[in-house]
Amino acid sequence: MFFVNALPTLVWGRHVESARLGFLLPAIFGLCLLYAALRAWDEDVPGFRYVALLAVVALPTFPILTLYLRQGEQAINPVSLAILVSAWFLICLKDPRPAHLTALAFFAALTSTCYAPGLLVWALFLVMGFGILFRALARGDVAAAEAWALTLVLPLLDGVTCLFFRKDLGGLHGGNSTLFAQGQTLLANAWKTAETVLFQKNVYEDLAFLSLPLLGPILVYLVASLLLRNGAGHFVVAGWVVGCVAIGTSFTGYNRFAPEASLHRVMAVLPVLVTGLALATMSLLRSSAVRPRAAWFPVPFLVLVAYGAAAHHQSHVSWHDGYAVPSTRMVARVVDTVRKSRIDPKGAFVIAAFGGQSDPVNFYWGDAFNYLFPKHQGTSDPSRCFTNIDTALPAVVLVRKDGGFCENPLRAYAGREISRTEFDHRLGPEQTVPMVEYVFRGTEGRGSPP
Amino acid sequence: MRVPSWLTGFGARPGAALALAGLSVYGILQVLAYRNVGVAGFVASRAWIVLGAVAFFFSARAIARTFRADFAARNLPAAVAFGLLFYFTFSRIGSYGWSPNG
Repeated sequence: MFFVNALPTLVWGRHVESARLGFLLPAIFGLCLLYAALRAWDEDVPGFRYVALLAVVALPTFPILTLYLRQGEQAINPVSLAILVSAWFLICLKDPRPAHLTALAFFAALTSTCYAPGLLVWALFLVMGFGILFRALARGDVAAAEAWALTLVLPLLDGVTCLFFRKDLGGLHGGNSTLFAQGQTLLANAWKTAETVLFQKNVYEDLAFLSLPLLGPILVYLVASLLLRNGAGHFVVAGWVVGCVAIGTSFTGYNRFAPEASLHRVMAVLPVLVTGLALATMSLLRSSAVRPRAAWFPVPFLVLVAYGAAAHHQSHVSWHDGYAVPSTRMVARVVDTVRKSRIDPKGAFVIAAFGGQSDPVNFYWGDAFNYLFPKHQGTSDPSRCFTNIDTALPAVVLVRKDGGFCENPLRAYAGREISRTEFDHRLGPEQTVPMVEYVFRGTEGRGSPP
Repeated sequence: MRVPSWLTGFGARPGAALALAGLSVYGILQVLAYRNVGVAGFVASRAWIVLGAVAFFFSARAIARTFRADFAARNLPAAVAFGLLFYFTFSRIGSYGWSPNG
């Protein structure tokens, strides 16, 4: 999946925009496909096209989703794949030709190769897929059973391989058993999670998890589905949603968040919820013989669009005051400095950013720098300065002006200064840090000559 | 009214099982690639690109057909919905220097 995320930077270059687009485009592409799938679901009932359209405008009304769509961060990958798999699943239920089943198998297999919560989508796909397979066998439809069995092989093999060998999932050496042992905190967190989700409390960066206009319909859908009022498929989906929220907020993973903040790990349930809600609405309308009319459409449409716009604005505001934007500012500055100083971005050089020990990510964002400058040597700890760093290489050094960090070790670069620039690094509306940026050339024969 | 079937017409497609069996072969290749067996990684990575291209092509085709039908039917709400969606998600996507909080 991360190859897909990297594609825009290969095509358009190493910019902030293309790095973010790599995460955003699969989600938007998926939304368009989900619309196509929902439109085709009941195309003989013209009024149902409004339901498909409402489903598409409903997704951006989940505040937490709008933030991650724009942020360019791996947590959006399971969401994008949940949308794509949901869409292809609907298409295959109506038209299970080999090419469609191949596309479904491809996207379902990707769910196990992205951010770990993608495995939640993988598990749901397997349960639904095997459900259809057994149903086909029970009906004696051998060809359909064969097709679905073959479609399940690739995602099954990929997922099991990842569970066994991916180190971040625990691998073979007991990590997974530790993960499951964390389940004991599940009940203790249940009320905290329910309170956060139902009462629109902040999950992350002052943003709620669920869409306020959809809160009622979602609750009705979940309760009705769990009571088996919508059929077996919806029962599985509703159980999965509740289970995912409980598991996602209880297991710690790499980072230990508060239960409510952990909800960002289970964003993948949101597109599946919306898809289930749209299908259940169509079923309800069909069974009641009520046909949606164009005149009914504008009110819910405008409510969802207005709320979606507000959610986007809120996420934009929160985003700029959180860690992501100050860090991105620093990354963009270094990208610009490297370009202007004609340092080879693919070669070895040093990035040192001594801004502070409490929140170094605002100064040195390791993930971004490792991606943009794969051979760079990075340091950001003022207590270690240039320990284990090859100071003979060209260097971009950012130091807090009033911090007095690493003044003595900086003498290793004496006589190689190309430029010295003072600037203010803004961390938030009320905090600005004065910084100095130095660019040093490498010693004779080391690194690209700027 | 036609009710969507969960299992429709697959058996009528000749050679379908053979085509899908290729997916299983690819799945086994992936496992071998994980274990660094021979040229499995090389072959699996190329096969992944081909599969991805197939999945992208059929996805894009399904989207294009729907949008074309909407365009032909002058489905204004769909145009408004997707226009707003694209505007809100793509506008200022490269922004990092401006804060609405001043």
